[in-house]
Amino acid sequence: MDDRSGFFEFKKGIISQNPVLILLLGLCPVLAVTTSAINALTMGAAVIFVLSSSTFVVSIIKRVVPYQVRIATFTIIIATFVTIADLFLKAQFPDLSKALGPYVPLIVVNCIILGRCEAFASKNSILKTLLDALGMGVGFTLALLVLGGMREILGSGKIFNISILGQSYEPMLVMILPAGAFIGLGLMVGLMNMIIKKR
Amino acid sequence: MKLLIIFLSAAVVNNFVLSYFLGICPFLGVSRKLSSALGMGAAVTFVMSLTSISTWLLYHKLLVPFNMVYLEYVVFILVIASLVQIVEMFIKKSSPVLYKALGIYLPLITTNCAILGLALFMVLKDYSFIQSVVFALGAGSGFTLALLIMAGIREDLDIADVPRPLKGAGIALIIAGLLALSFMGFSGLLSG
Amino acid sequence: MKVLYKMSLTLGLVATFSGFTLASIYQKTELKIRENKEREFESSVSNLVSGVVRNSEREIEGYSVFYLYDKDSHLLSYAVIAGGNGYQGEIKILVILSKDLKSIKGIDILESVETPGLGGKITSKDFKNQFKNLEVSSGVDYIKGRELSNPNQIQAITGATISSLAVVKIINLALDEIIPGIKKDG
Repeated sequence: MDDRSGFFEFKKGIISQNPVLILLLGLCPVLAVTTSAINALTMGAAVIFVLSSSTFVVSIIKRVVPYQVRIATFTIIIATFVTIADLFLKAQFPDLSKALGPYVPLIVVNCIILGRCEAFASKNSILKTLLDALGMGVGFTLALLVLGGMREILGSGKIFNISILGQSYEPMLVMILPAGAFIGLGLMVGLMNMIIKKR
Repeated sequence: MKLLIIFLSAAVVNNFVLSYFLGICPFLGVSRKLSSALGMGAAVTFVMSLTSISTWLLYHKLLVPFNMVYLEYVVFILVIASLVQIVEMFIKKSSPVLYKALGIYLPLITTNCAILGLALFMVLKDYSFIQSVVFALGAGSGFTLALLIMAGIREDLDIADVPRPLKGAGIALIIAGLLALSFMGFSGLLSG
Repeated sequence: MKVLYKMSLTLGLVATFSGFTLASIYQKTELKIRENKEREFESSVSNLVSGVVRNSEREIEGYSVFYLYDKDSHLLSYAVIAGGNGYQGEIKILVILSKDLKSIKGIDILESVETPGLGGKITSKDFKNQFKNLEVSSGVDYIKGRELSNPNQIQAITGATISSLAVVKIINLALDEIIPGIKKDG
């Protein structure tokens, strides 16, 4: 049993095993909600919440869950926390909830969450699980923020709705459209690959 | 007439993959072979139709009347997971060839955002029963269409000279972006 | 057999726990969520009509029509939510109809997914303001490029003809359906 430090478990989710840019998991919300930095941040926060809570619960009950029903059990747990996050957003941040729309409930099928539950939480200690979840969640959020920020700046001249490129900037509308999302993410993945190869 | 609009909208104008980003995982990982892309698309369309029927019934006949709408996500995902299990067993028995070809992609349909997305959109748009089924058929067809085009392009991509960091997912995403751009040309098809 | 028992027990327990958790969270948030929805509608309405204290909803020809009353229970105006296909997707419009059914007091675009920067301009103040006090006895009309010549005309947005036209069509369709209905209801 390798005894990697807790910090490693956290750090790996940010660069070397970034769920979005390296593992290529959970891409649906990445493309959909990165039309602005605030949307990206909200989605990131929701995913961190669901990821941490679900893996936490899974890690606690891992010994008593029979193998054959583990996926179904994990799914129920994940769907529960997603519903909690969704209800919370609808009540406290209705505008953000509307902006994110159906992509919040779609966290239920986000491969990252089920993936971490299955690959890590069901086999590791609670502490390590939490660190792993936080690392993955933060890595996810950072990737979202970069893509969302880039799309917002290039596509509208603003970030967090604050104009930074001035009035004369002709926005690249395509960045806000689906095409911009695909192309932006594709370039980021390529960039990430270059960074990893150099290390 | 409205049914035709719903079908076309889901299939082309608001293509599930290229406009709503649902079903990206199988879309990126789809094999180069057109035949398995077609098989995957057909399986997804089939599951989508069954899903729309069962989730519509569960939502409108059970959750709403009993004021349990907040259980929507839990119930939907459980239904989808069960349906995929059933479809998998069915394909295994009836066409072992297809079963082998689809391999691990079949159970992955469960986590395919497109299926859950279909159920969620159906509720959001408040479609009737018939409209929901047509919606599912349209969405599935659109998904299949996107997969087919991507598989076709991927076949030629292997021979092309792609810069190393972009090989694989990177270039696939960029191509998807160009596809998305071209599909935008379909907008306005419905409002005229 | 024991395995099957354990499987069902686990699933059952988890499902029950999930159900209870969600039910209690729902209870805590239900009120706030409903308030948020109402506040959204009310703020859109109050931007266009002042003094609305309450509304009563009636369904006319499939449209939700809201009769808006002031504090003395006098009818102020009517509000209707109209939807239809735009260029990219569905557009939902809030239309405030005057008491005498002859003009629109104003509109608000509640939902739209039109192309940002082009069709998306239908949500801009400039476009929406065109509908303030627009005469609608013969329906809303639109023109492109020229000067407005009739009190029921609005200017379509350059580069967003289809979206602008869609807005006009959706409004006209709704008015055609509900005005006779309102007249009948009294």
